[in-house]
Amino acid sequence: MTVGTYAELASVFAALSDETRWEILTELGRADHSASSLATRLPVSRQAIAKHLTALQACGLVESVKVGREVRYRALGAELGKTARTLERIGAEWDRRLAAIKNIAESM
Amino acid sequence: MDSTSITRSVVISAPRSTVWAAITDADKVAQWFGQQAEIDLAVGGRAEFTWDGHGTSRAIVTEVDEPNCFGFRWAADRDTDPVEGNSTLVRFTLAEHESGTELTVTETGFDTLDRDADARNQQREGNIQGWHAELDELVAYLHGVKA
Repeated sequence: MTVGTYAELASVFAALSDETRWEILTELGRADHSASSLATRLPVSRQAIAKHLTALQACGLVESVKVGREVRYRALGAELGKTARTLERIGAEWDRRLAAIKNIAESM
Repeated sequence: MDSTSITRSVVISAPRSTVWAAITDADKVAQWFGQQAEIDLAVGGRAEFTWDGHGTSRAIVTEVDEPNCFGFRWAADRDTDPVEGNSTLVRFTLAEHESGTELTVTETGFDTLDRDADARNQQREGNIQGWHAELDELVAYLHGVKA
């Protein structure tokens, strides 16, 4: 495990430690949206949506794209996929270690 | 338990005292956690785990409750003391089980590790294809590890 990987994992989870951000990500997973269209879909003020979008952008989960005069937000899969794979790797490593402990304890 | 935890369990056909020894006796620990281990088995005691060719990983013992629970704060970086921002908390719990002992390990605190903006920004490029599926997978996975 490298420092970079842990740092990325930490920043992604920090951004995801909020219910509304999961709702935003779910909406953006279905389609791109502007901040105001997100505000009509979720029971949160436009101002709060903007704050959440900033947090999601900062860790690479969401990007903004200018379409004409509108700024639309789009979900990015790479960072989330990497986070899931990193957790799976750590989990798999513990599975391996637990299997080794089992062997040691059962042969004692 | 927060959503950034890793939890794994295994049932071992051995009494708790045996499993306790396997996870706290340095000679035995060296067989599953690195190639060399040193453990000062007391709260606040130092522990070191060495992987051949990968340096030494340091830890501070946080919990010693024989034969129920053993925990340590583990530095994420090699050859570095564990402090806030660079370490996770590893906790083993041992429970009686009809076939022996159920050993559960949790590793928490990934969300407390210091972040690195450069590393983060490099990862911004992405592909929206499959994103929704990945999110569902992640949610399913997190539910699994929290259970």
